[in-house]
Amino acid sequence: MKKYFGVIPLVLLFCCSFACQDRAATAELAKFKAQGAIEKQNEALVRRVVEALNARDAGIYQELYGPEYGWYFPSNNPKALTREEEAGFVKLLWDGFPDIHWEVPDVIAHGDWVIFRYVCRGTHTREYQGLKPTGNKFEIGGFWLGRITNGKIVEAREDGDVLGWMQQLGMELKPKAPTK
Amino acid sequence: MKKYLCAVPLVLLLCLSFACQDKAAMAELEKFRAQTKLEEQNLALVKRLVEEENKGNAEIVKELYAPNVKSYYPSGSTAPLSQNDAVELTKSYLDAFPDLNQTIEELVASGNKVTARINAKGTHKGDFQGIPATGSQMSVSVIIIWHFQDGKIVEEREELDSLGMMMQLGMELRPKEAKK
Repeated sequence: MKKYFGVIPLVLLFCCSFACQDRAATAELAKFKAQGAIEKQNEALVRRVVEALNARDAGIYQELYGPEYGWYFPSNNPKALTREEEAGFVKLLWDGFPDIHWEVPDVIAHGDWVIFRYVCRGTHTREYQGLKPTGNKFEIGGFWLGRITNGKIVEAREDGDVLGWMQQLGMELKPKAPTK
Repeated sequence: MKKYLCAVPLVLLLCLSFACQDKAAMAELEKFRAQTKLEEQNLALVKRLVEEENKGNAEIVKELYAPNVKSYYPSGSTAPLSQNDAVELTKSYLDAFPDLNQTIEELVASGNKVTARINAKGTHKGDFQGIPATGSQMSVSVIIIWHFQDGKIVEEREELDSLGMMMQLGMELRPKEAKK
């Protein structure tokens, strides 16, 4: 019977080795899952922003954007607009194109970043930044890259087809007139 | 002594339950790890693409883009470019800006997609979309999302600040003149 005594510690050791391996793997798995959970939250937050843009709800800037937020448009602009300045710009869009609407066909959430592609459509029925209403419909695409920290958007980088937009509003590219 | 014998099967059962739990968790963990590995491979392909284009090698597009690739430029275009169109477009940029240098400012890989925010600089030394060489230095922001499948790009959507670029090449926006 003594020989069985010898086996028990061996079996326990065996158990422990399984448990240890399990613990390291569990920690790694938990990290992946935690990241996935944050990415889901971030994506939901950004989808709320798009809904608010379409619902003309300017309250999101106070609610979902950090005070340090900077909007870089075009994306390499050395100077960022504040969230208040962005709210002002968006108001001009709402005023100039009362039916303006953003559709978001692709959303990617990874790490701190949420990235989406948008298609923006609207009708130019009122004056927009000095452009008299043309009644023209427009449709342009663009990308928005937002960085989120502790549930607030702190940075956004955007590029959109501004040239295509302006052309659809009746503008055209011409060589710059020589300054006299 | 008999009582210790009873303990052996119990301990073995405990062992097995650990091992089982481990197996399910390990399978899930392996899935996450495989995804991370794929993302790293896709990131490496994008870095190579940009490096080769910076060396003036437009043929890299043939190597990294699938023959049936759909390249949307601007991002909301409804008429995607083919692999051959994409090679020709890259060539036209390299001909107009022989010192074209793209710097990756942000790179995000998620699943089978990679997003890059790029700053492209170059000197306007050749014809570009009908604009003769001006010798101007241009710096333009670009955002691209690539979709990968089996190590090849199958879809590309690109947005660049074309208005900003054209203005740096001496153009400006003006109301379209009515045709007489």
